Amino acid sequence: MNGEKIKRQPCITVMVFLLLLFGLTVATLCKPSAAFSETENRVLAQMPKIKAEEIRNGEFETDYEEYLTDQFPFRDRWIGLKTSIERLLFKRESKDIYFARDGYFVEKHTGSYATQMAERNVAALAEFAGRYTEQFGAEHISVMVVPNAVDILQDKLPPYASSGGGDDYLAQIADVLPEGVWFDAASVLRRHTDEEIYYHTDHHWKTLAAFYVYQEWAKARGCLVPEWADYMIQTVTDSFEGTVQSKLGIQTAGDTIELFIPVKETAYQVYKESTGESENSLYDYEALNTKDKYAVYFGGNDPFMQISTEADSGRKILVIKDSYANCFIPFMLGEFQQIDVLDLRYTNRKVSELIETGGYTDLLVLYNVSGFAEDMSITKLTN
Amino acid sequence: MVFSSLLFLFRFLPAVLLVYYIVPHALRNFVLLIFSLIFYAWGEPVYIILMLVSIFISYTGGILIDCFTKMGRRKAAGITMIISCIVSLSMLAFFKYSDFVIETANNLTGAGIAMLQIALPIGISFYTFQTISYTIDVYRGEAAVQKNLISFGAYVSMFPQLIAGPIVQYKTIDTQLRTRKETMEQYAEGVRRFMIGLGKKVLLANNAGALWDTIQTMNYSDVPVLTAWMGLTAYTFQIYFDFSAYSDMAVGLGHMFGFRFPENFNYPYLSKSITEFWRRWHISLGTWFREYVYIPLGGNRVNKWKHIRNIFIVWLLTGIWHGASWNFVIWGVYYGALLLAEKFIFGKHLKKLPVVCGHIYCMFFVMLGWNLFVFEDMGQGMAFLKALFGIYGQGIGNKETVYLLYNHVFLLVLCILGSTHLPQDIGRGVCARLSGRNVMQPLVENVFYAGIFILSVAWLVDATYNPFLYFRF
Repeated sequence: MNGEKIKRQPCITVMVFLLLLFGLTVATLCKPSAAFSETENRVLAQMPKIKAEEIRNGEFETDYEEYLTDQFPFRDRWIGLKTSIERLLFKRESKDIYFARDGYFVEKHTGSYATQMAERNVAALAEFAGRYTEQFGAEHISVMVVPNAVDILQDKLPPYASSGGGDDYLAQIADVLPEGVWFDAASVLRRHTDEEIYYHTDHHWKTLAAFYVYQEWAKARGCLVPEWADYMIQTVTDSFEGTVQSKLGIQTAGDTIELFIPVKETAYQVYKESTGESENSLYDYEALNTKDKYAVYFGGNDPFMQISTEADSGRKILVIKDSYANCFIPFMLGEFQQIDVLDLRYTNRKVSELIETGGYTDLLVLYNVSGFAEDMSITKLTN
Repeated sequence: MVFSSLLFLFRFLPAVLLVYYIVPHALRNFVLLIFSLIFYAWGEPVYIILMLVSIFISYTGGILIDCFTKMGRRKAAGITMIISCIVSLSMLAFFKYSDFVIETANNLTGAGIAMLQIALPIGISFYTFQTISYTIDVYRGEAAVQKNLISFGAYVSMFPQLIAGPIVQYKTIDTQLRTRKETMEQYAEGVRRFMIGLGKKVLLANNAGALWDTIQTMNYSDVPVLTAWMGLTAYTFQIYFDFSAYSDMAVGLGHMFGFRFPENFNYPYLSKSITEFWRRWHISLGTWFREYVYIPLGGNRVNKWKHIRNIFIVWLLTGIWHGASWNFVIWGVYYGALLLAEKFIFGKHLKKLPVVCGHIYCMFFVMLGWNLFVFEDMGQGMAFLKALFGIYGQGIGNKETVYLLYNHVFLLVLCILGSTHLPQDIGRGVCARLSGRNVMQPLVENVFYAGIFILSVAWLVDATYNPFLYFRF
């Protein structure tokens, strides 16, 4: 009897092990390969083709491992499990994302600014601004690099957590620009830290933040300053789970996206180079049914857009930007007659040629700070 | 291929287990050989030739030595043994140390010889030492000759211990290679051991490594004392849990195939002296050097000066075995000097002090040793050393120290506990309490091991950080 009991126990241990091992193995073999991960917003690795040459040089092996990891069943759940346990065990960050107060998930961006690219981008921007300040005059060229949540929501960060280093980088940028070109978005945002100016689960700023900053920017640039009463605020979703949430894989409360719709209706045309067609809406409401709901603004980043408005100021502006600008541009419609929007990441247009032939009166460079530091395409500014 | 990967867990391991247990006993060594070669070839298929050459040289060496010995030609046997060892060592030297020698020569003479840029074949330091031990043992008559090429090949290439040890001397598994019986008890023991190893590597070592990486990449002249020590502590745990986890997984996998490999670690951080530390750390390497270098040189049965010479030779070699770089040489000599000092100067005084003094003394020097070990660039090592002793005047700690500490307090406590007998004692205590309960005991035990497995998979799926420290060896 006793002998039997001793025998039974190892049996159970082995069975549990084999069940886990073979169960998960079978699951990985049976799961059909997904082409794209909505949560991570990226193309997933596929089963690599077997070629003798690639096996020999190790490429196949590397690709196969990547494929196995990317296509692992319930990938998000496993990552979520890890994040949840880390949170339980006093960790106030995971994957360089702070678990901040009030349900904010805030990316740290440590290391973004100490790179050669970060240095090079500042130099390129300085050269660009120097060149066109002469041509346009300081009051018609504006550089705005918007800080990220980690730089602004410092009160919400975990105790003793350090804040990225975006501030120093912004100061570095402001330093090298010609007099009057820099616009300090950080100090505007700092006055509103108790409001919802950043998404809880995404790396972008909220429309509200863009509104406050636009007000100050318009004031500084001698444009018409919009007021609250000029807009109707529409909450178009309350289930936005952004890029930061995707990295953590955990369930979070959804974010809301607010659109500021002008009370006074105006007509405009948006020409998008990607489709070659003109539309008469700034917003792509279809995007609200997908994971990347921030794409509600213009349907995401287009290489080049041309917005024609009814404004009769005679001002034509070129905005060179990243996605932070997407919720800022709608506020510009009342002021500028034509707004050209260039996203250097997706285009090979020569900036100098565009400016030469575009007949612009104004230039605006608008990026977020970590994005700017890490963006490989910034050097195209001087092309 | 490394054990702590999805590829190993969900492709290689199930395949090898399945095939191994389907085929009849007579073919099992062959299955191990084939799978081990696949394991080895994964990612670097070219080096499989090197492995086969290694196997062939020591295999023929062994047979020749045996023949000569039986013919009474002891001298010829000796020469064969020496040739076989020299060939094996030359391969190791060429693949591991060429660039190091060239670089040193360039630095000394300014010759500017081009480096060979050879990628180090994985595990070469481990399997070369195994083949050498085999030929020497056959010569000494301590091991029986293995005439079956497949069994011998399986021994040399045996995937569980191929890439990170333990260094298994042929004589210890000779009979297991010829006849072994896989039992359910041993299999279960293997499962438990493997799970523990997996958890140690993925959950403790990798996370400690991530903390070390955070601190290692700081600008050392800004690092306050406590942060520096936290970093070194993290590395101290990373290297122990990483290395001993590989040994655990190796031993565990061995059990699954019916082998019993020697233990490689015995709670080294509980040591009270450096001498004791090296009896508990990487035991199979220490054993190897003792049996094949130290004792043949005369060990301690010679006059004092030769004894000291012997110790330095062994530690110089131990250092250089760990990597082709000067910091490893110095690290080896550092331990040689500490061991000598314990032997001849303060060892007896140390024993009279309270136990806690011994622990503190030992860990202090072990950690400083890791500082030497981890920085190949010794300028960086010196800079970090200065941070450890507050020479930059950055004070005791800062905001970041507090943040890092409370974020990792759980990990560090787990690592401290994991370096002691405590988890094992608790486990045994719980089992003893529950023994006799038909449901509770297996439930608690298996939930524990399955839990480790599931957590490890979660960490691996997410793996942005899963380094393999032993590519250098």
